[in-house]
Amino acid sequence: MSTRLLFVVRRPPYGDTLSREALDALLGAAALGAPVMALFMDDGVLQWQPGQQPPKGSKNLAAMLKALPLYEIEDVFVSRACLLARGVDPDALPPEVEQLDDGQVRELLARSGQLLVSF
Amino acid sequence: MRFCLLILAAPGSAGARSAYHFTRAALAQGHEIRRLFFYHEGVHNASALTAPPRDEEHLTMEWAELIAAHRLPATVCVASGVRKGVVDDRQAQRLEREQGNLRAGFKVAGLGDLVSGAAEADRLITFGP
Repeated sequence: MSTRLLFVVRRPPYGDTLSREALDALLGAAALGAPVMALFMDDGVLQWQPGQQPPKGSKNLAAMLKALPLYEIEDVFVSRACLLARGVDPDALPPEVEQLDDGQVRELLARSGQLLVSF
Repeated sequence: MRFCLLILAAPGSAGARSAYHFTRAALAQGHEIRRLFFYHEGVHNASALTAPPRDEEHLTMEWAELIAAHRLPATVCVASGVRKGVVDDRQAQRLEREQGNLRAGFKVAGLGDLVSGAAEADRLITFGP
């Protein structure tokens, strides 16, 4: 594949299975050797909230996020404006996650708009 | 143009209906559908057990007819299917159920079908829940 798949995560964790399935798809695609990138924006930034205590029966998605580097998913982006708007401390995110300003988010989406996996 | 569609929306929702009409319109304009990949609540589009009232659309049946007429590659993701209860006969047996409920024309497979569909497409479009 010459063009990379951009996974966009826009929904919060735990409300339904969508975010769990989004991360399963992202990790699964990477495991199959597809070149992937991930962008967390809107309510999707809540995946990065520290100290998550999901209810029993829900997989802890924060733990899945820790697996991203293990699957060699290096291009992980978060909208900084969305972090701030939802009260997620930007300093709580790992340094390898790149925080983008609005212009950079737009540019990433414009670049990757042809192969968008949007959750 | 070659399209790969990721369908996350269940029948009865606007997302699923949009995906269906988009597929029809794209085919009518001579485009190619490289893959329909049903994931999350989208797996319900492949259920053989739906029977809505006569004055409502019957999207699962419409999908099956479209898939048959154009020989479209339609995959239900195995992980979502098993989780949400849309399985083929073989899987049903593995789960010790009597039979599956997968409508004819759909197959069950893994994420590899989404990845290969994307690799063969000019555009991947997601129809969300």
